[in-house]
Amino acid sequence: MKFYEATLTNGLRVFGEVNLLMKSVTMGYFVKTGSRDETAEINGVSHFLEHMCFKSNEHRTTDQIKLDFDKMGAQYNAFTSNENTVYYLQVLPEFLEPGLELISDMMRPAVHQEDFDTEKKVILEEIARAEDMPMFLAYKKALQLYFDKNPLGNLVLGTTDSIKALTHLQMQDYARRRYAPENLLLGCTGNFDWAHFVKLAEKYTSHWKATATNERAHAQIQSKETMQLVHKSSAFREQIVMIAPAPAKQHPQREVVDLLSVILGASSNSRLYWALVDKGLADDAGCDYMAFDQNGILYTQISCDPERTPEVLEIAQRVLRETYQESFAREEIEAAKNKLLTSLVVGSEQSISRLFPVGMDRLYHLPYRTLAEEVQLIEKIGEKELAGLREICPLGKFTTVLLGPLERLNLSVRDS
Amino acid sequence: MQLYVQPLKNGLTILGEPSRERQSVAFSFLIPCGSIQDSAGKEGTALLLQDYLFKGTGDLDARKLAHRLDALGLQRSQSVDREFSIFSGVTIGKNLHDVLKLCARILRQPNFPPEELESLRSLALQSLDALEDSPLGKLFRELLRKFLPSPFSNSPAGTRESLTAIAHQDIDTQFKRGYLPKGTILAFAGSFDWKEVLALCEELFGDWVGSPPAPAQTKAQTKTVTHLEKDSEQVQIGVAYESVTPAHEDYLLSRFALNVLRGGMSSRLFNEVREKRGLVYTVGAQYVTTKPFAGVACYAGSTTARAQETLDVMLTELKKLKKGAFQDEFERAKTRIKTGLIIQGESSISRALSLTQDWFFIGKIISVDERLREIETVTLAKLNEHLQKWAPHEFTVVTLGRNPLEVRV
Repeated sequence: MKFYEATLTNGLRVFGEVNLLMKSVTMGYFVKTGSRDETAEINGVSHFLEHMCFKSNEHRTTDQIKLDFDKMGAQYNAFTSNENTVYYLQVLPEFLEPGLELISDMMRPAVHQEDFDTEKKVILEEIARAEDMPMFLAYKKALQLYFDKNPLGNLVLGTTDSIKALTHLQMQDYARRRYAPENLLLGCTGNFDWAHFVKLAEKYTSHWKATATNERAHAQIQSKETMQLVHKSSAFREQIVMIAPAPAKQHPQREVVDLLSVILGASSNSRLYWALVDKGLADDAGCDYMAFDQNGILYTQISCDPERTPEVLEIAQRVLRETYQESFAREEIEAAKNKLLTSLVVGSEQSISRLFPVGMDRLYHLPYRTLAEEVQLIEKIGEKELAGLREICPLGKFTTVLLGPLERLNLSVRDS
Repeated sequence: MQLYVQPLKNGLTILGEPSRERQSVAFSFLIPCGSIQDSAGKEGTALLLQDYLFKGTGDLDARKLAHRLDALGLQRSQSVDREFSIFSGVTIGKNLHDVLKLCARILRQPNFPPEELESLRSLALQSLDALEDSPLGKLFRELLRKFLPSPFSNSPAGTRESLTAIAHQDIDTQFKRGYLPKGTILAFAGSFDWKEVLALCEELFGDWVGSPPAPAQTKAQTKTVTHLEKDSEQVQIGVAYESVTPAHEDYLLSRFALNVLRGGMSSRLFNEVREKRGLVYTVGAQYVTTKPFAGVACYAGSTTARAQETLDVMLTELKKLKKGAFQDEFERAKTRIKTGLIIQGESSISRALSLTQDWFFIGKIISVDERLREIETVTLAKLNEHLQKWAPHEFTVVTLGRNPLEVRV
């Protein structure tokens, strides 16, 4: 595996990780924009724009775009989060050039009124679909509550009202500001020639003009103990979400936090698993480290019988609060490390699974690491490093959302 | 890429596709103990049984076993289908021998500690409720319940009543009846040495004996339209129709047909339902199969006011298939199928699963290259002949939402 990086004359950054043993090549554009970069008036525009990039542009009609993807037999998609929008396609090596040309053209969508109006209906269906999924609703509510007025809590899909009110002109303006070359990153992983790829990238993007991208505002979150009960009578399970502050994407200790989240909440053989799932108290209990640009959270989600909520909540709080009270057992550290190491190795064999982790790091100017370096970083984590997280990843106060059939919660009074 | 097949005397078949370019190795056990072996009134036993296997073996209790599996870096997954249970995993090549030894213990000498039954049962019951919070998941269960012939129509997840009725003895009985070598398939793909692995398999499984009972006769269901009421924003729509099984000579053609219907974004369902009309966010079609019976299950979700139009458009597109595909659709389907196969070759776990399934459904394994050559022989004329013969005309329809819909065909 070989890594390369370059900046084109228009300011677009490009990276490549070449592995000639792979059978495919995956390309992608990473855009540093998401719901955190939106105002309330245009909430949901980043995600809606992601859909519109699959519609007509200067070089192709909407139908042509879809046909061109499928003619290459490509596997392709896109996704939007609260701070990134990513487009990708995986093809056989012979389709490198047409693939790159297609996906590059898509970064300059026309956003025609007619396409926009039809796609608006799709977005409204996507919002309705999410309303029927309690797990997703709980996630959304908890992020809103935790981030409060910080834009990181902005809804990715927007609301029915914000989407209905959005105009194609507002979207065009947003695209102009946020899809400037210096706010984009182009990446390629798998079986390809780097020099050739850079030449092609120049060819298909050199006409892009630099525009002023507005900078992202960052504000620290004050962690506080809050709890909200959201009654949803149609739900069957009670969803419990607990959020605690964690280091940002840029923090040098983030592998250690990753490991901590595996120890606490991997789907099997983790502390929450043994305390809740193994005992039959919850059918699902997991913990994820979500690292954002200059911010981060440790996110815990549990699904349980509504009537068991007080007991389950108390156990989950205890498990998380006791994290640093006793030393981490060698056995659990090793188990968690092996889980991460296997994922790394398995991921390194597929071009598509390399693109996202490498790209996300590049987008935020983090140092590139070879697979061997990543393995080494994980291997050297021990008790000391985990205990050292106490300050930067304190697990004492939680923002908690309970969403489901429960109408009121009877908890014994407890100080926090 | 060299493929290997070795049947053992006891009826266990070992398959292999070694690849020296990898660090990872994947394996997949297919055990012919599926939900059709669940006794009447005890549906869900095979699923409970599979989870129970991980509650301990010999001197290893659940916790020690989990630590041992993690120490070997095993990334595992498991599932129970109608005709079989699958236990698969991927790890780093050097750990394979130790992983296999542990797997043999789990599959052959589980402890089934009685005190763990209630927590497993509770989880199975909770999973049923969790499905109620996942509209698409629930739709699929109900669609297959109405569509597949009996006894495949029963959901492997069981029902509230059947899960409550399962006793420890039932688990033990089903294990002794179903977890046997005859018909079991074990496939490997990735970084391993065939001869070494084969010798180890002989050592670990050579003295295992027994054969599970032959599967029961199936009984087709009549095509029905069912509405299930749910207070939800969207109506989930499921439409299923019969297709050919993997052993059928038209199988590859049916893959082409499915691609025309719902391959990429240019496919008919995506284009007509989502792109042109904006009726849905989700619209899909999926091949579902058992050895004797196969079909295609289409699904979509639309808000209540637009659901009828969605169903109408879906049915119109399905009926239109009979008229055949166009040359450009055919070419796109071909490229997509070929590319999908080649890309799948990057993943050792996909290869191991695919070998297992080929052996189960068609009794032979096919290399990626051989499959690619086969794809080249497909022509538009053959596809259109297939569509004439197999185009859907009878549908099983299930909807889930506030209002029932009308099937206007």
